[in-house]
Amino acid sequence: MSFMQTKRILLVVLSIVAMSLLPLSDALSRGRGGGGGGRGGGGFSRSGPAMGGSMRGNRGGSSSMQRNRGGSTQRDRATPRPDKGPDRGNQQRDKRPDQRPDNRPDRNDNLDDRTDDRQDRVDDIRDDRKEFVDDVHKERREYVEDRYRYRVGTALSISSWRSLSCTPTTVIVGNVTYYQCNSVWYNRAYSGGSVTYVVVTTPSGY
Amino acid sequence: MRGPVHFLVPVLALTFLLGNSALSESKAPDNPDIDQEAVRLLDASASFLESQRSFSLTSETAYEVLQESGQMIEFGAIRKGKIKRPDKFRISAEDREGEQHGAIFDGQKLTVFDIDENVYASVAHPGDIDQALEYLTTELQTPTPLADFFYNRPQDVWKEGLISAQYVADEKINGTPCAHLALRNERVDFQIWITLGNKPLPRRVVIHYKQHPGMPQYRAEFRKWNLSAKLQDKDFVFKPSKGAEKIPFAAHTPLAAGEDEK
Repeated sequence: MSFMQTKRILLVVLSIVAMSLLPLSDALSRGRGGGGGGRGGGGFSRSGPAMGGSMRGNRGGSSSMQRNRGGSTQRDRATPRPDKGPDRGNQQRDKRPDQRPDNRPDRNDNLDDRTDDRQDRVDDIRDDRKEFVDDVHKERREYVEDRYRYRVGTALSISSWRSLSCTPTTVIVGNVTYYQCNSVWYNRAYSGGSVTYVVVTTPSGY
Repeated sequence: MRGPVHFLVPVLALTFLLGNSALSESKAPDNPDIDQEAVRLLDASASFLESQRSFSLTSETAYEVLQESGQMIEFGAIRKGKIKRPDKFRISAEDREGEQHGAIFDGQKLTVFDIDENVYASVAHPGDIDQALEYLTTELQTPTPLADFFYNRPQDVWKEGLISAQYVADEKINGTPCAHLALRNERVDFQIWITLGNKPLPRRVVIHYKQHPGMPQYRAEFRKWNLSAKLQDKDFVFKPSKGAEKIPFAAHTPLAAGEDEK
């Protein structure tokens, strides 16, 4: 084997080794953030149901705002909630008399039965009242959740706002600061516990 | 006479059985899912906390967020609370990323603030702590972790819809002997570690959001309770920093033309 042949073989082997290492190098660079500087914030969502930190479930924590992602923010409409009938409370209350047995076969002969029965009725009324109050509170919570879920239809997180391809114009009308980007007007406002840029009506005079 | 007696026996037996069943639903003692010792400890802790007219606490908290990729990621914050019953609180947090924000209520006005953005939002809402926290978390949809521990009547919150309460074991949290309780309601499962002894303060809580994909958790350890905090009314008055802009709550912002409320 001549020197030239040996050199050619060596070059081929080195090329194969180098090519086989390329994917590894690429993978390593991705592992470090793809050369993005390693400062984090790379599109991870910070918001979810658990951020509410309440033993009562979703309380201000149902937002799925993508604080570090592009696009407008919307609340989580897929939050599972127990089915509610047209009048669940009344249905439950209506069912009760059927579920209770007639435990007064001989009222005149059994004073204890009568006393127990009266107590049962008192318990029933108390239970019914508690169920009714619970239902009212639940309905109100769900109404509030629905109302504000739609009301904050278009709101940009701060990072999404910063990623817009425009230089916003700032206008102060009264005590309110408006931001105009292209033809859309925004106010800063609190939504779901975070500062957001909310689409609003054009301020008067503009 | 024999006939009527024979008729009464099954009726009374059925009455007893059904009546007992109804009782077991409404009263905890017959419910095997409700351990009375666990409930007693929970009540003791809530009552002790309720009896503290003013206090402060510092907690180290973390919560999980399920990402679109399917990976669960943890974020966290140091959260501090100052409570002066019945109608004042100051809650502040510093995220692990350094962002500082919080909420203040002075009995008349509820304010949320963001120090990094140098903005705040206020709304008049006279009332007590419970009313302010309800408004903050439901009407304004503002996540207020650990608010459950600030209510004037915490037991109403802790035991809301409780369907299971179990005493897991006696365990130590940061060296403090605690009762480890496991509790469930329809929305979440949660565990709470309550200090054993005459000051039954919560030391740790873990909340599982079982209705949500991945069942993310919220975790908090109460590092420092100060039950002799000297809190003045002025501690609960919000003072905006220089140049701070007052902004509205999105819920109070007019909608753009064409965006129906539906």
